[in-house]
Amino acid sequence: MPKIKFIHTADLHLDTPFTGLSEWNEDLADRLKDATFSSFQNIIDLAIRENIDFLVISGDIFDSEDQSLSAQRKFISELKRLSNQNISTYFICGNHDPLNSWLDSLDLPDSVYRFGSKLEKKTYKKDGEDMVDIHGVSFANSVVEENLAQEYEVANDPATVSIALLHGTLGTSSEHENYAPFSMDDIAAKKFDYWALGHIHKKEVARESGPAVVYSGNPQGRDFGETGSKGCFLVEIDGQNNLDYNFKPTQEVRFERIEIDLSDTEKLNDLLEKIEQPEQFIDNYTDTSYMLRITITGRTALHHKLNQPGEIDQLMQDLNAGQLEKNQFTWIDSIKVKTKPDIDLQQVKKGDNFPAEVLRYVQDFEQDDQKLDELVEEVRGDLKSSKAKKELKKLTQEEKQEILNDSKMLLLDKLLTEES
Amino acid sequence: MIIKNINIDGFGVFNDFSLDELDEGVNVIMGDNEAGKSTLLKFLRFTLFGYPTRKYKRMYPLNGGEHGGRITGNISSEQEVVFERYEGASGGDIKLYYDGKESENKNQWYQFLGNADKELYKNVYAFSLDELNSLESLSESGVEDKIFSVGLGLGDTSIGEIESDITERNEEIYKQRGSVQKIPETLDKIQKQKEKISKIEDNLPYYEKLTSEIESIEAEVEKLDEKLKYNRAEKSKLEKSLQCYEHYVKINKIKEKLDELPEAKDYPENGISQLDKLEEKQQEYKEKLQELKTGTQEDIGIEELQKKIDEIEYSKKLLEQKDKIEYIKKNIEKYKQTKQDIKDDEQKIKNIDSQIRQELIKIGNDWAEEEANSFSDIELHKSKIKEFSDKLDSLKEEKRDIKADLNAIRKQQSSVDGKNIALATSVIFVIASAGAFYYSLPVLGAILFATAAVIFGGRSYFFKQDLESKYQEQLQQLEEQQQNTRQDYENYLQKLNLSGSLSAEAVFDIFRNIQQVKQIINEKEQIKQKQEVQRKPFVDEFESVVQELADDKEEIDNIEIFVNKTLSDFETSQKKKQKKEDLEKQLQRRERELQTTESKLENVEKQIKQLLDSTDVEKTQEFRKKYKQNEQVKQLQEEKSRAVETIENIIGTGKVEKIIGFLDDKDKQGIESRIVELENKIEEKEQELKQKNSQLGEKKNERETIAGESEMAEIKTELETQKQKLRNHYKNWLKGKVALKVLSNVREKYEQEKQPEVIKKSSKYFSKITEDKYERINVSLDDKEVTVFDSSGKTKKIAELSRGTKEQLLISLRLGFIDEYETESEPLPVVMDDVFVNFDPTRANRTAQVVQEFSQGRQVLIFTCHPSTLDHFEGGVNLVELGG
Repeated sequence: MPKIKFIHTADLHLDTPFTGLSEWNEDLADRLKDATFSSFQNIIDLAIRENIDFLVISGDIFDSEDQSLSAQRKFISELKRLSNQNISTYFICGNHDPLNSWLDSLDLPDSVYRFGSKLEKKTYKKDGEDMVDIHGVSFANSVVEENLAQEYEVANDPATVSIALLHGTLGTSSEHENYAPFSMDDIAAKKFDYWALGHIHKKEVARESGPAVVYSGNPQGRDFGETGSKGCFLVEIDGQNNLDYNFKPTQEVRFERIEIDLSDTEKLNDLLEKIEQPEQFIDNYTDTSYMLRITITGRTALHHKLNQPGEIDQLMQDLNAGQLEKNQFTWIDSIKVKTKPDIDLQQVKKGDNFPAEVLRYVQDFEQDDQKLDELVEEVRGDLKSSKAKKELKKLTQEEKQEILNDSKMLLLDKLLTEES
Repeated sequence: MIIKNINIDGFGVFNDFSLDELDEGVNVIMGDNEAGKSTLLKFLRFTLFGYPTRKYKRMYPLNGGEHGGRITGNISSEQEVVFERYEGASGGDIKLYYDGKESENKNQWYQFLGNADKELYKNVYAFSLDELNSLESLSESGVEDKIFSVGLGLGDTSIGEIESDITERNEEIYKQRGSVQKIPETLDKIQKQKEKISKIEDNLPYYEKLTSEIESIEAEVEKLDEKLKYNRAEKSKLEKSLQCYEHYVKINKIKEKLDELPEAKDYPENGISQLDKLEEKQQEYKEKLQELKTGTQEDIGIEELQKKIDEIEYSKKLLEQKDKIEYIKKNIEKYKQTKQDIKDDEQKIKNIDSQIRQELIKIGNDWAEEEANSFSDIELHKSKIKEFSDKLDSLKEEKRDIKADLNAIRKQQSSVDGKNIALATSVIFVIASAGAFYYSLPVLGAILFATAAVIFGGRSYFFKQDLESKYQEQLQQLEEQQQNTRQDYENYLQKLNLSGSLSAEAVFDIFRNIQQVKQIINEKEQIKQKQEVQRKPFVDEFESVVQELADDKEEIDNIEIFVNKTLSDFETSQKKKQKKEDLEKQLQRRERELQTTESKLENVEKQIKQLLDSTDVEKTQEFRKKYKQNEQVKQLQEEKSRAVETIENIIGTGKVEKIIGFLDDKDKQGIESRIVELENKIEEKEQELKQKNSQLGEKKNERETIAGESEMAEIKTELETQKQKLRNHYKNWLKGKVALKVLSNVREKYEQEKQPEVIKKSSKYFSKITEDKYERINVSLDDKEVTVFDSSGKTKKIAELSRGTKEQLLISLRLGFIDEYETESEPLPVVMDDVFVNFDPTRANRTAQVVQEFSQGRQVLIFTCHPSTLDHFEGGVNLVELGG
């Protein structure tokens, strides 16, 4: 049997924005705006370079809520490149790009197949032989509550290889899950060779084989929640029907959060040196552009200095200067100062003075979420702007704690100033 | 803790410095300006609570020594504690000695310091004049704040300042009804982005609308295109049909002509010229044949050649006998010579014969040649004859002798005979010996001679007897013997066919003659032999060869003539033969040529026949006629097909029949007017199409523009960023709000819990210092305002107090705070740096009194450069002079 090579990707979210960036910078935006496209182009380039047989995309090619015309048009134009190389594409639509959100005026190139809202099977032929059965179903609307996975069955007279394209949530299928929830039990027993899953943006090999169950993850992270190396899976099935898959990074920009412990650091230069070598702090470091969110921790004499207004802004400005002119840049999105002053807070707490009172007082809120909620709710009341209220989503407990802690540090910084 | 000793290794101006006389109660540390009072204060603070983070503040030793030192003191349990600290990271390297041993427990350090921190100590315990002086420059509310903060144990940190700092910071983020703060600003940006987005979002339905419009225009354009295509096709067809018209007419004419002519046949190509060529060749071959047979001026013909060959005759037989001819040719001269030689020798023989006859005659008449020749043994005969002659001579002699003897006997007779015999015998011997010598036998001769000599000697003896008788007798006998011998001689001669009468000399002559004859005969025989052995056989051989050459019957009259003739005949024959052979070869060539030409001719004729057959005719003339006609048909057909081809070139292949059919039905004018009609229609539609296309282009451009402007990522990223910023601002604002809230809540609690005691104690001190001028201090919880009550119950705000009073209030508040603070903690040494300067003597004395009282069970270190300071105290003060 001939070899089969295909690429599994999903959740392209073409032309969708990067969210949660701390500061707006036009040059940065210029570098980021096409990143979702570029990472998809990287996949297409890889496909052509590897001369694959076909590409499968497990939904969420674009975000219907974004109403992006470019997303669909550019998607099609990239698929044309594949089509020109006689590489087929099979894709399903997910919750973000349900069938009803696709432009009517869009013509899919030859050799591109979009699955409909009923489970279907398409057979990929090679050298006249039925090689691969590709099963798939698209989301008709943005919400699909039923377990789609259960319906998948290998054909009665299957091709050599059977692949399932599915967009949905793998895990304990909770009742309120809107995205075609299914469990490993639902699919593990089915005779497919490979489950090409989409929807979850974090890549995951949920099951290594028999069948392989893989979330390719999205090929380009778009916020600091989507960290780590991002890309697609190159799947190869050899002449003996052995399946092998390898992750291939395709992202243009990688998001990473790093934490730098400044304990025992007294010089700002030490911090700069550490920031300038982010590979020390990043797991699976890959050679690419980076968006970094840095948290500085540790008890340090620099604490006070770092908390001076404008200090961090200046630091970031220095670090980011000239980065965007580089081919591969490292952009610091934000530096969170979570350092502690070079004083023993526990010691302070034991005292009888005002700062000790502050620490003891704050501790109550730190230990009682409800109390904290009430506190935040109370002070929030001073925000009268309805526009702002509308725009601002609820704070998470984590954020509230962060605010509380920041307040504490703010106060301590002011209460425990050094001798002048 | 009560400090007992201070030991400095190196710190600021100090090097290996110690202060040992410190004790409980008030210690006045007196020193001139720059004696190091402030430095000592800093050493105290840094050693107990750590070196500052900023190095330049660490007071590096100016005069050497390790940066740091020890403070030894007693804690309340009377136990000695040594705090040792040298400058280093995180406040410096510390060692704590407790109960004489180094303590491992660093927490004890802070316990022994009553858990006070650097700030607290600095702000409350160790205050200087500088600090008090700074009150002067502060604004009124600032002073209040300071005092208030001091009341809270915050030293120079002002809660109010903190509050206003935070409030100010928060108001940069958000202020009610404000529009330039960060939150409203960000909201504005969000709004703008949203507007942009909604505009782009509108693109999507507009794009769809444009797409459907474009599709409908495209459909119209397609329809128009179709119609135009149809019209253009018709017009083009008509125009082409016009172009075809003259050719169409021509075709029709040719068709008419062709109808009258037979159908075109597929005759061989270039039939006429082929025939011409073939006929030309035919003629050529025929002439050649004639020439070959009868000859030309240059060459003779085959017939004549044959005749010539036939005419040449020669003797084959002769030529066959070439060997013989060559033999005779080679030997003819020899033959001639031999013949002559034979003739000559025959003459010689004749001469010899006549010579012989003459010689024979000399011998005897009856002698024949053969006789003479066969006469042999001449020497024998000669010797015989001689013998006879000698014998006769001897007999005669003997007779004579005897006669003489007889006569003598008659006179004497006896020995004569003997002598004769002996003589005869010796003669024989001499002859014999002479012969022997002659024959080269000298020895034999010698022997014979000797013998003869012997014989002679013995003979003489016998002749003496009876001589006379004897003589007589002997004579008789001699006679007889003579007679006999004579007879024998004669007989002998006769036997030799010689006359007996011949003397021996005559015989000898005859013998010589005979020998002469024999010699001549021998000569003759030799000649004869030569003739017979050499010449005659050669002649015979030659002649027999010649005879063989001659015809059997032919008689050869003359050999030489015959030979010459034969040789000449042979030569002629040879020449003739050569000539004949040459001619035969020539003839063969001609004949081959003839044959070739004949076959060529045959071939040409065959071809002509084929050519004729191909047109079903038998004569070339018919062929020419028929062929020419066919050519004409073909030419017409070609003209027709050229016309058809021209039409095809105009309208395309395979459409000729159609166009002809079309033109059959149409007239030229009709076509022309239809073209004009179509041209109008086309122009109209082209105009329309142009319009539609430009419309289409516009819409497509617009759609592309929209598509190009439809990238969301950047705008949305900005939106999201602004949202994030809004959130960050909000969180930042909340942080301030929470901080303010915490601050306010803690203070409230603190005020409630701590202030009353602090204030009560402070009031007591303040009242004492002011000689009860002011009875009470009050700090409002709500407005944070500090007021003092005088004895009459009147209140004064801080602003209304004099500078000295303000400072006294500050000292009172601090002392009160320390009192309150130390109810639960280890007391710490209180440091006052020149605090009495601005006080009047009464207040100064009272303050000193208060301090002295306060110092009971504690330690107060008063740093001053004013010796008068001591005057304020009523004794019980430990004076320590610095740099004294």
